[in-house]
Parts: sequence; C-alpha cells; structure tokens
Amino acid sequence: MIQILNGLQLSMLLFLLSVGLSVVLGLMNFVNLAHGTLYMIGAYIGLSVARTTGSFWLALIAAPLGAGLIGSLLYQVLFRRMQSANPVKQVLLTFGLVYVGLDAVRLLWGNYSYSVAVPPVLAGQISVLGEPYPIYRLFIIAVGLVTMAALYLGLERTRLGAMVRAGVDDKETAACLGIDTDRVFFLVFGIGCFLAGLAGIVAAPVLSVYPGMDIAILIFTLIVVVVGGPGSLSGAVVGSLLIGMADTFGRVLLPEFASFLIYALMALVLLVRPQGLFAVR
Amino acid sequence: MINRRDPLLRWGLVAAMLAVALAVWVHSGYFGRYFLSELAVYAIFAMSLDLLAGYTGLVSLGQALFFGLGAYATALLTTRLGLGAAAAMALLVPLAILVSAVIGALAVRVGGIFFIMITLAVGEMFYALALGNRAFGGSDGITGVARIDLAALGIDMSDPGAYALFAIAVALLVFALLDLVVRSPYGAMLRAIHQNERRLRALGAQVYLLKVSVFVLASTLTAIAGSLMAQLTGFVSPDLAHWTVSGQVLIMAIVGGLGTLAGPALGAVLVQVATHYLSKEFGYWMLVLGSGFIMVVLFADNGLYGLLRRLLPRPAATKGPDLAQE
Amino acid sequence: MKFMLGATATAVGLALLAAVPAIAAEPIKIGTVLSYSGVYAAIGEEITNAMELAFAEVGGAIDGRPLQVIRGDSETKPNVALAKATELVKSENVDILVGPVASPEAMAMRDFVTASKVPLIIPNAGANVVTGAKCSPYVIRLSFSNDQFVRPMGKWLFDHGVKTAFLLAPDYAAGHELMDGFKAPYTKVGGKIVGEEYTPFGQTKDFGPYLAKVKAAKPDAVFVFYAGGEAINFIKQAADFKLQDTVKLTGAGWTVSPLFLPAQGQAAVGFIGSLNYVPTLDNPENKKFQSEYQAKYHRVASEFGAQGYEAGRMIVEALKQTKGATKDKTALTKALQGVSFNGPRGPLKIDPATNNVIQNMYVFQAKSAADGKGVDLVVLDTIKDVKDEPNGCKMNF
Repeated sequence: MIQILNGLQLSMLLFLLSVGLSVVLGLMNFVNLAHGTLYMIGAYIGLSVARTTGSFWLALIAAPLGAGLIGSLLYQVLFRRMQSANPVKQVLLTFGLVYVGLDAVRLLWGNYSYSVAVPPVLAGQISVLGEPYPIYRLFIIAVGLVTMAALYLGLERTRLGAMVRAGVDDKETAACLGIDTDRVFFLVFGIGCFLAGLAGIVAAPVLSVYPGMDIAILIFTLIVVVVGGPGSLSGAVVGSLLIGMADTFGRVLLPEFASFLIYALMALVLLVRPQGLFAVR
Repeated sequence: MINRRDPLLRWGLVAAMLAVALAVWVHSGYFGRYFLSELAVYAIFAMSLDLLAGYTGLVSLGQALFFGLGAYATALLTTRLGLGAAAAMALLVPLAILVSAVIGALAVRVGGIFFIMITLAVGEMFYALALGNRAFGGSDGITGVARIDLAALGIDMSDPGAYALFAIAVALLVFALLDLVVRSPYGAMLRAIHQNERRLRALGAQVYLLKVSVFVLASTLTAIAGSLMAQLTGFVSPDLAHWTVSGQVLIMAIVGGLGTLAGPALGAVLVQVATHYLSKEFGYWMLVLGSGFIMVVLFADNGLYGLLRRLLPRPAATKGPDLAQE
Repeated sequence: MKFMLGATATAVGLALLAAVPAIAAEPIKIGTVLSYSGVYAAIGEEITNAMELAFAEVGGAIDGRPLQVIRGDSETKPNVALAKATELVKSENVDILVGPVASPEAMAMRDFVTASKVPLIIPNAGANVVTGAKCSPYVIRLSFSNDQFVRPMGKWLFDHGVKTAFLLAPDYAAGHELMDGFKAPYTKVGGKIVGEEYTPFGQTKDFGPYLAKVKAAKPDAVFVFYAGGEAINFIKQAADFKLQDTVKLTGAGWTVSPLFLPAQGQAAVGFIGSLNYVPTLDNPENKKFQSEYQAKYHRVASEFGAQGYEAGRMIVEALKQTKGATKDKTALTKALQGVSFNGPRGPLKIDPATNNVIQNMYVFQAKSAADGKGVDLVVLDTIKDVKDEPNGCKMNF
C-alpha cells in the first residue's frame, strides 16, 4: 500500500510536468526541451521566496507565477516565431536555453544543493495501514488530483478549453473558424510553464533544489508525453500513472532492471502504438 | 534537379578545413595535435549523423550507443583478448552492422518525435548496461587501450602528430564515402524519403529497407568514430554512450547545417573548439555557448553552412528547385 | 624634445625594471583538473579554494617562485579530464597536477601522467584500483581509498550492537566498492547482511520504495552511501518515513557531509558514520584551517576542503624539500611521496607501497547543535593510521 502511495506521488509530480509539455507539443507542434528548465527556475524562485519570507505557501504561489511569467516572456520573444519552424531548429533553440538556464541558476544561486522546508502544517506522518507515511507526500498527491480536475473542467467546460481542443484536433480549421490561435497558444504555453513551476516548488521539499535538476527529470517527462500521446490530457494522466507506478514497482520488484524497465516500456508502446496510448490524431 | 554548385561548396569547405587543420598541425605541439584528433573523431560522428538525420530525416538521439559500442568493442578486444587495434576495428564493423540492423529494423517503423524517443530509449538502455556491468569496467571504465599499430610502415602511433594525421585521414575518407553516397541514386532516394515519404512509397520504393540500410551505414561509421576515440584516449567509460553525447553531436550537426555533410563537420569542430576554449576562460561557459546556439537559430538559417552559402555569390542560372537545401 | 627623450628613457627604464623579476622568478605551475561545472562543481570549487588557502599561508611563493594555479574544468567527463590534463602538461608546462573529483577521470589520466612523468595528486577520487592494481609512482592519493574509508566500520558497528545490516548504495563502482569494503570485515566478525540494494546512479530522487523495503527487512541498521543531491534526498526522506524509529541509520560519512548538512537539517541527526575528517576535530591545525576558511568563504569547510587544503600543504612541504626546484620531476614526485605532516585531518603520510594516504578514520554521530538548528558531527571513536591492505599494487620508477 505504501508503495502504491509512493507510485502515486511520483505520478502526480510527473503529471504536473508532462501535461504542459504534452499540450504544447500537441497543440503547437513545438518541442520544448527547456520545459525542465522552467521546472528548475520555479523551484529556485520558490526557494528564494521561502527563504526570505519563511513561508512555504507564499513560495507555492510565487514559483508557478514566476515560471509562468518567464515562460510567457520566452514565448513572446523567442518561441512564437519558431512554431512553424523546423523541429530541428526548435531543438537547437531550446537546447541553447537549457545551457543558459543551467549557468544562470549557478550564477544567481551558486553551486550548492538546497532544500525547502516542509510547512509545519504538512510536516509529520500519518498512519497508513500501520506504517507511518509522510503527510507531505499526500499533499503532493492532492495537488496533482486537484490540478487534474481543474484542467479537465477547464478543457471541457470553458471556451478557452474548447478552443484548445479544437486547435489540437485541427489547427487550420480552428483558425478558419475565427479562433485567435495565437492568443490560445500564448495562454496554453503560459499555463504549461505555470504547471512546471508548480511541480518545481511542490517537489522541492522532497527532491531538493540544485543545478541540473532539470536534466534529471526531463527524460522521464518526455517518456510520459510520448507514451501518453502528445496533446491529450487523458494521455498525460494515464502516461504519468503508468510511468510513475512502473518506476516505483520496478524498483521494488526488479531492482536490477529498474532503469531498464521504463525505457523498455516506452519502446514497447512506441512499437505497438506509435502515436501514444491516447493519440489525438 | 540537384544544384551542381553544392558538391563544389561542400568540397571547398572541406578542403579549407583540411588546410587549416594541416596548418595547425604544423604549428602546434603535443596538445594541439591531440586536440586535432578529437576534432576529427567528432567530425566523423557528426557527418554520419547528418546522413541519418539531415539527408534521410531520421533524427536519432541514440547514436552515442554506437559510439560507445565501437569504443567498448575496441577496448575489450585489445585489453581482454590481446588483439591489435586494427583487428578490433575490422571486427567491430560486422558487430555494429548486426546491432544496428536489429535496432534499426524495429526503430524505423516509427517516425518524427517517436523515432527520436525510441532511439533515446535504446541508447539509455545501452548506457545502463555499460554502467552496471562490472565485468566491462562498470562506471570506472577500462584503461590501457592500444592504438593501431603501423610500426610496419615505420609510423609511431603513440606520437600525437601521427595519430592526428591518421584520424584526419579517416575523417576525409568518411567524407568522401558519404559524398559518393549522397550523390548517388541511393542518396537521392534518401532525400526523397525526407521530403515526402508517402509519395515515394506510392511510387513503389522500398522505403523500409532504405531506412534500415541508412541506419546501419550511419551507425557503423559512428562505431568507427568510437573506436578512434578509444584509441586516442586509451580509455573507455560509459560516459561515451550517454544520451547527452548524442544530443551534443546533434547540436553540432544542426549548428553546422543539417543535410550538407560538410556543415556538420564544421559544426563539430567549432562547437568542440568553443567548448574547450570557453571553459578555460569563463566559469560560466555554458551561458556563452547556449547563447551562441540561440544566435545561430535566429540568424543562421540552416546553420553555418547555410550562412556560408548565402554569403557566396549565386551562379547566374540554377535549374529547378534546390533539393539539397532546407 | 628633451622632455620626450627623458620621458622615453624613464619609460624604458621602468619597463626593464618591471621585466627583471619576471625573468628571475619563474612560477611553479600547479594545474587543477577538477569539476568546475555540473553536479560536482561545489566540490571542485571547495578543493581549489582550500588549496589556495594553503598557498596563501606561505605568501603564495616558495623560494621566491610564485605558486600559480591554472584551472581546468573537467566537466566530470573522463575524456575532457584527459584533454585538459594533456593541455596543462604539454602546453602550459605545469609542474604538478591536482585532481580529479571523480574516479573515472583518474583512470583516464593515469596512463598519461605516468608516461609524461608528471605527478598527479588526487584530492578526492577514491576507487580502490587507482592505488591498487593500476597504481603508478606518479599518481599520489592524498584523500582516501574506498576500502580504507569503510573498513573500520565493519567491526565497530558489530561491536556496538549492530548484528544485522541492510546495505543501500547507488549502482556504480564507488557504491559497490564501499559496500564490499564494509561487507567483508563485517561478516568476518559475525555480522549478517539481510538485504542489499543498489539504486540507479544519479537518477534516484524518490527513496520511498527503498525505505519501505529496508523497514520490511527489519535490520538492526541500514548501512548507506550517498553523495550530492541523492544524499540530501535520502536523509530527508528517511526522516519523513521515520526510519530511525526502528532502524539505526549508519553508513559512509559523506552522506551527511557538511556540504549537505545545511540542506538536510535535523533529519541528519542520529546518523553514525565514518569520515576521514569532521569540522569539529580538536587539533590546532584544524582550528586554524576552519577559522581561515570560514573567514574567507562564510561556510564550514567539509572533508573536501580539508583534502584540498592538505594537497596544498603537501605541495608546499615537498617544494620546501626540493628547495623550489621542479625540473627533476622524479625527484619532485619522490619528495611529494615522502611528505609527512599534521593536517586538519590529523597526522598524514603516504604509504610507499601503494601511494595512498595513511590517515585516521573517525567514527562519528550527527547530533543536534546547541542552538537546536544546526547539526554537529561528534567524534565517537578515532581509528588511527588506517592504511590500505595489500591490494595488488606493484610500482617502481
């Protein structure tokens, strides 16, 4: 049971990270390798806010806002014109940003690893089937579920959501129907970065904050997006659950093959259903 | 219709690079020549990736697997079985063909981002294997890899100058080979796959076999580059097969200009030189290098090769569309 | 006109005067091949800063020759380390090399420094083989060997009530070597290993699954090794899961290095481990070192800093021996090898059989500091003069 909770917690983290990347990829056909960088920036912003104000909750608000802001800025200045460009150029551009981001955080925050303290209200353990389980991890699960619900409602019930769904389905027709695709993309991208920043601060108390944390999580995020199918919310949900659980149980049951397993799983999905499990196209 | 000017520019650029390399060779000492060998190795790697990603459109993030495969095969055959490096290089060719054929047969069934991901996955699996396997040195690697023995020709390969010339010669050979390939009907088919695969299939071409074959060719050349690297440093470790190496070489190729053969070679040299010298001068060299990449994207369409091409005067009449450009 | 002549003459004169010391005192060049970027950057910086502190203590010069440090960023990649070492030796003509942080880089450089006959002082990398089967007269290790680091813990833990242990470490060479180095002496005195897990190296962020496994096995203690971000995560998560309620937390001391303690906080309290250095060591050398380091860098120096500082001291002592002469590399290397002094770690000297250091190992426990916020590493026991056992090293000049 504990392991199920562990798996769930990891899945939620992956979900927060991958859903932004997935929708951006599906909607805008934009390969953003620097998505992890926004996760890292969010974590660092949260770290600084937590340190100066002493409040985790303020950091929880500041981090996603900061990441969303920086993401939107990057979009306006750099990414907007790159959308229809060759994916290869997108790779080079975002890769360059990864490099810049890595050194930027080192410049601003130094080389050492830092930690963010769990707020007192969420500290401590709760008894799950007789075993102590950290309350904070349950909080992570809660944040993930709430986000899932919010995104689902957003997609299904709001006009913006309808526009996003239309855009993912068929960008050209959507534009023909008078949807301001540019604005939609801008908002979607911003929300994606917002969520990445949220993932950063939420993960910080558990995983610590250090230069290079973006690369560490990038691969897993990409795997989730590919397995789930780009552009699909359900894909991101199922993908992150699958990968999170597979990784957790893989480590428990088949430790020698743990790292192998995730890649093998992805390779399998790609061979059997190349567009991803919940492909939109 | 293929732009006749392109092979000229391509060879021109390579000739210029060769001239510079030889000039540097003459004027530099131990380290300069050592560094030239490294540049030659990365140039081979980048060119072979270009064949796959630039010409055929199969962007792979897993070629470091073959780089590592070539390096490890050379290390194991020379240190554990006592074979010479030349024999090891000969033996690793069929090994690389076999492994790449198996992987390629499965991987090329998907395209676009999915091909990128699956090659990434397979590459990481190999890395995990090399890292975890203590029989093959594990994370600490294997030392004592010998260089190819050309004593019979009176050449002492332990001299960095001699090895540099050897590596540059191999790079030149690889370029010439790839140049022949891309100018052949086979090469035209590869470009056609990149342009419009469906149409090509409709015309009856064996697209699947073509893709697998180019994957095998590119990967085998990459394995040779890996062997050269192992011989240069006398050492192999799992780092050689990490996905960031695949990424770095892809970046080198893109910076140089995909689909131009000479471009990626130039890109490899420039990025490697920039990385080395920037890290000497600045603590925050990644900031500078990353900004450099962004500049290339914004201002150099189709990489440095494209920039070069635009700077040179165009011929009076060019017949038909230029298939060689992006 | 006269003024111009006079001014020119003065300028030329000054230039000549300025040139004279430059010709007379050729610097002694020390090249570092360390990680200055990437995950180990903090360690590379600390080692270098501490080493430069040792040089500053003698006024930055020996016998009138200034000590010049030239840095090489190895990016923690063996190929790059070798390239930088090659450049430092062949182009910059350094007299001594210092580095690396990680063992694969040491392996990559070993053949080159031996062939070039330039001494390489290792201020960290601990793979056994470097001063074992692949030892070299030109590779001198001042830091530790993995084996030496954990061997004392085997018997010590057993004698202190740990009859069963669960081993947990990252899945790479150092992880395995450290666990093997503990296992052998531990099982020899009767200890039982009830579980052994290796986590994917550098990738493990979530130790939840492993902590659950450890608890399920119900050992007396868990013996771990982690460094970097993984160490921070592990210690914090172990506290999250209240591991220490039922299982003693022990292991290789780096897991709670002063480098990570600020991030780990009170979660580290209770950890029992072995280190070759703790900041609270009560000897005059250490007190001087810590006060100097903290005054300049506003952080408590960790074992990496101590190793770096002592590398600097070693170079200074050896150069005093050769009276500042560095042309004869063999003599210089022999002088380095023959050095013996008291450093912040305690008495140090090099074992002529392996070129690895002979040093004290300190068994410590992490305890809450007086202010309730910090964590101190308090020495429980000192095991003196630990050296490598016969390990297959054969070397001669």
